[in-house]
Amino acid sequence: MSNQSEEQKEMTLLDLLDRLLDKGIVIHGDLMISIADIDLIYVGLRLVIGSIDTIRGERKVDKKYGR
Amino acid sequence: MGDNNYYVYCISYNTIDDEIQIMGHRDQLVFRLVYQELTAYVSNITLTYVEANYENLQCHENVISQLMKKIDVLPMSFSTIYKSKESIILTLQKYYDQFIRNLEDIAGKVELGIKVFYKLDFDEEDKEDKELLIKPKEYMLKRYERYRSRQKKVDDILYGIEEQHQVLADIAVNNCFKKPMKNNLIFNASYLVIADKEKEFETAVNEMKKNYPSYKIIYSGPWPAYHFVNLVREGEENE
Repeated sequence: MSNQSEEQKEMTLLDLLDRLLDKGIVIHGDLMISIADIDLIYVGLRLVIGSIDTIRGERKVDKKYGR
Repeated sequence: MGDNNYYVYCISYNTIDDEIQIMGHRDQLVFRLVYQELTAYVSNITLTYVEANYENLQCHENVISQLMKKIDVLPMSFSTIYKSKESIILTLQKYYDQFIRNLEDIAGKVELGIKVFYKLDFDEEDKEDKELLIKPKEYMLKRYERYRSRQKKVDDILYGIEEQHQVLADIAVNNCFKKPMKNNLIFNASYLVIADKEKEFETAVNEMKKNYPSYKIIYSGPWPAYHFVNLVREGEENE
């Protein structure tokens, strides 16, 4: 794999983390409890992030960086 | 473990009539849950959370990207998992007006991003200064001088970027940015841009790259409007 594509992958990962983890519609469990007195949703357990190496997988670089 | 839960990818208007053939996490087919004018795009999952690794993040994003080609979507944050279909419908019901308002705000628009890197390398200077350690007073004065000159350098760099940012912000309808100053990343911005203006925006970014060859400017998109979802949770209105 070339340096270029490794770098692109890092960039993709950075952008994904930047957006997906705490942006968009963020629904928290505490807010859902006000709807009904039952536990409705699992959120907040997802952020198990160590170093960039543990997050990095082997998937192909996203097309978004073809520019 | 083993229970059937529901992973929600995004919310949109209830406008697609065709069958959707998109695979979500763990190769489960994405399906719709409808409440009045709104649809949640969902797949079955036995987990209660999905690990934030590269492949899973990409999977979440791929589902939304495919839907985005056809419709405006409000992306959910990664790993939003519900225990029942009914609770998803309750969310659509509870936040109905806000979801509709957000969908109106992002209609026909996409999120584009830039990240600006600048390598601030002071290793040589630091090495030089260490030789002065035997003269503490001179060393301290030198370090103070360095501190001021570095501060000025950073300010100058950011000033140039902020000027360019303004050009991009003028093309966009909304924007947000941070100045992280970490790992050479000095400016990180997202812009909400009318889809028809994407080309114009890209041209402006290319111009920015030409004007600032010593900066590394990474352009990405189109993304769903992650940075521009504005949801006020009940009980937080007056905070």
